[in-house]
Amino acid sequence: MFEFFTEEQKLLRRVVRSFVNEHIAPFADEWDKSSHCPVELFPKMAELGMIGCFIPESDGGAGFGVMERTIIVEEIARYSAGLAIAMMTNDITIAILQAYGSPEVKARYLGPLLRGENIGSFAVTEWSGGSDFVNQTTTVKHTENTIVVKGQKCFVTNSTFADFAIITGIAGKDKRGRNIITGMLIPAETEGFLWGRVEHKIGMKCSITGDLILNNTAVPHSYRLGDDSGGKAIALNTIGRYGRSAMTAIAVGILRGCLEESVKFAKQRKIYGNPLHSLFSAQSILAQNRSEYEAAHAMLYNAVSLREDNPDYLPRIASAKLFCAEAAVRAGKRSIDMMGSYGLLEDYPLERYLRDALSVIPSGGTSHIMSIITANDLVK
Amino acid sequence: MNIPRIAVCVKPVPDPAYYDKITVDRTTKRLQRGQAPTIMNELDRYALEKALQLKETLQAEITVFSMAPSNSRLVLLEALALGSDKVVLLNDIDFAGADTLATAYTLARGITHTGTFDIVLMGSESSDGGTEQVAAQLGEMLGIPRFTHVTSVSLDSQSGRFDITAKHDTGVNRYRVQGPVLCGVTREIATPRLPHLRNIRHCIEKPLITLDSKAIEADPQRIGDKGSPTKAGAIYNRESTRQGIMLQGTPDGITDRILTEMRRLGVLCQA
Amino acid sequence: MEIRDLSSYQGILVFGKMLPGGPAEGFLELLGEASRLKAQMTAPVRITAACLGSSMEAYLAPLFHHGADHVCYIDDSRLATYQPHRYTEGLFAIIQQVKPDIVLACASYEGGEVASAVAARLKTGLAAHSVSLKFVDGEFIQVVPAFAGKIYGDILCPDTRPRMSTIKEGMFQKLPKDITHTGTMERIKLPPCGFDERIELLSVEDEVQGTEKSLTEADFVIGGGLGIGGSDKWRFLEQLAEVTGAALGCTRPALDQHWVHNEKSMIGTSGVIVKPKLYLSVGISGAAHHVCGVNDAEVTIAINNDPNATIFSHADFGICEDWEKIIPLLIDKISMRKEG
Repeated sequence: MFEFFTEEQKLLRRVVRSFVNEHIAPFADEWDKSSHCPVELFPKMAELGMIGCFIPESDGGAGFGVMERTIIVEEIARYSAGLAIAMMTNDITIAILQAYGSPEVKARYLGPLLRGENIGSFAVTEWSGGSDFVNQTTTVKHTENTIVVKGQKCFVTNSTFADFAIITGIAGKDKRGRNIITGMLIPAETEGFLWGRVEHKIGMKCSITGDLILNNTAVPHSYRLGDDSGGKAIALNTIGRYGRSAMTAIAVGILRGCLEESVKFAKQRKIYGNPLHSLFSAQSILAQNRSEYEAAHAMLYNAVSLREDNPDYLPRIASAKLFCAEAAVRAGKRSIDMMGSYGLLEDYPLERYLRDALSVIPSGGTSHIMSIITANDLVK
Repeated sequence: MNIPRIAVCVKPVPDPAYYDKITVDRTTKRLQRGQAPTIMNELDRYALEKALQLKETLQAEITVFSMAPSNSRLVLLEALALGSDKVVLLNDIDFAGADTLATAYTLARGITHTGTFDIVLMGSESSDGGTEQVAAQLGEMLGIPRFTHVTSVSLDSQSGRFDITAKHDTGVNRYRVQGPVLCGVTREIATPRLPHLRNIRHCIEKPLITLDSKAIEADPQRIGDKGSPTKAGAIYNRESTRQGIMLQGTPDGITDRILTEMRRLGVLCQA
Repeated sequence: MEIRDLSSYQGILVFGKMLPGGPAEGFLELLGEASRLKAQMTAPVRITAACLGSSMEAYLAPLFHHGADHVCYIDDSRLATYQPHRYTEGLFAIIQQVKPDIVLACASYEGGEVASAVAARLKTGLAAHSVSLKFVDGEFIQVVPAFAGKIYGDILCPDTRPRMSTIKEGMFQKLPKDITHTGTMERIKLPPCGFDERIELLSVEDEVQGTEKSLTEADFVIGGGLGIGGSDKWRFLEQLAEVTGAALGCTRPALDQHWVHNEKSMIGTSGVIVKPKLYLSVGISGAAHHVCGVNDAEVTIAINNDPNATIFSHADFGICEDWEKIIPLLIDKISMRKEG
């Protein structure tokens, strides 16, 4: 475990944990079973400052940073990885608005977002795949008063209920023939904005994922984020900084869940007249659960404590996500193995943790992409 | 009446969620606390919440008092993050081993040394010791009217009088009391909040003062183990001696089994 | 620590509640325990019952019948209603008069509060919620719970007198009534009460005798917890209690959910301690606070749908099942028996 949190960070973790124990832990299973994203909880989280905690106080945030936000996401993910991804996606839109939004858009959305009254979605991925970012097909046309967008996005977290989507599209080609990617905010009530199919996923069932269809939706120029060619920076910086660290935090939360629940089971389950943990095979699993959790936790917070302008930051986060996400899947699988048939039952949370762990892998970049980022950094 | 001054006594205690890990070592006979984190005693949190509510309506000033080892800082910072103005930590190696009497004396010295207060609030009971004694004893030592198992408190800032509702064995009494007064509160008093994360960043800047036995001019014979008339002897685990038989089968079979047990014990009334 | 002549403190004093019409059950239980202690003491000692109240002289006889050798009381209209500062003055005056070696007080709201304040004045030790009192090699040992009853510890009070203890109702047994046992009466005056001019009693709301009595006395107690899941569902437990004549209690979370409104129906270390022949817990996870309140039940049955619930390790019979499959059926079967 990472042992170098400041007093404020320790206190923050304690406060968030109290909130999670009261408002999330008892309901997480129900949300998963009913595929319900608890949007009703957002104002409550906001009341405590858990949403957009990195926004400066002068703009209505708590004034913390990525480290603190990572702690919050981990604590939520300990019980509900699905809510954690919904919340972290919303956070990404807040970070983008704060950094790139025009005064008009910030004035309209930042307050309601920080109060949990509005929820944002971030729609970048297309059928061609999230990592082939520059070759997207959504088009952006500038007219005199508006920007008109046409295209289709998929795997949009918070689809169906988000109040807006932050999207990217191709606005043309630059002198060197490369795609110019523009980013903008499109309110859900805009004509031509249509939520498409909703996916039925293996895990993170309480986060809603679906398609977004943009059929010549037009928004004012002030809804553009950054300059005309700012889309790439917006998407990649924010995913790198706020997305991947949070996905890694979700993996660490799941690892802690596997550790705590497997210990609980091993102590209470009697087999051959003794507690399960008296068997070496169970001990071995408990020990692996602990060592991988300890390693993952230290690795995540160590990476997050680097300054974002440190060139090491992105590859270190990529390595952490590679390890933590895979470790979460391993922990879910072996904990279920330890529990025998009980591990398969919905009465225990482990099957959900394994499903959620599998869902961490593609979000924010698969393990293969994380390997490529890591390896490229090593040999460059 | 000037700005009301509120004292709140807060006890850092091991988190009750970890009680299952607390045991007595069979060979050394010493208490093994496990890794239970230290948290704010639950009822003291309710008392602090009441103080915060009084502060919101009356601009009161809140000083938190705690007799605790220095590793309880997080609990005290949380009290500051919640909105207390100042924390006074009574910390001295000589305070160790205090029973309720020595604790009440030490808190009384700390409070008296720090200033005058219109009301002292605290939980009626701590979750670890659970003696329900310190509130009444502290009131006695401060020489002010005190009530325990208090379910509501309000202050009329014009007259400086408190309206207090307190439980007794057969119901509740309502009193009007000229302050200063001490109230040991129950859960009915208020619903505690969590601190806004923003305030966690600022709590570090607020005053957290540590006072030792000399600073509060405590009588060395009345503090810590020396000042405690009760002495702790042996400690032991409470073991369960239940059979632990799991009843399997259909609801029909299970309910029949319960009925059999009821008949055997003679508790199935024949009426 | 002040040096005192310890030998001038003699006998056992029991402080309990006088209800309209007689002493509370807990008062008689403490007299029973005092009598057992007296039998263990080598020198002959006297058991004094300390009573505070108004117009209660006619109701003191049961104290003698249950073990008191002496009753020292203050009968004063100012004590008609419990007020902490007046009762503290009263008990303090009686203790100064009697100078007992040991004081046993009921660990009720009133008894605990008054005993704490008096112990502070006397600068003596007070053991809270003792579960056992004994003499070992001449030492008086009071066994008390800590950490919600997870741990028990011996408390000694070597250097000061009196040695005081509070005890929860239901912890000890009263003696069988012996109408031939009598003793002496002593009435003393209530000293001036310092805060009278600062404290105005606005109103007294006596609750109708709640379930506390029946919980501590019932042979069959049902306890419901958070697992019940709603106030509408709580009615099933009420119905079961009704058809079986059981007393119904609850845990802290059920109280917090407002399914139950009477704080006195909470079972556990900070509530009522029960010792029925049968205790049936429904939807209770088994936190130490609760389990310690039912340790003395003869047989316990636990229903919980979580196979990992701690309550099962404190139960004679565990039923891992949704309570809704069991309780309504049980009600039906019992109702049918009655009708049939």
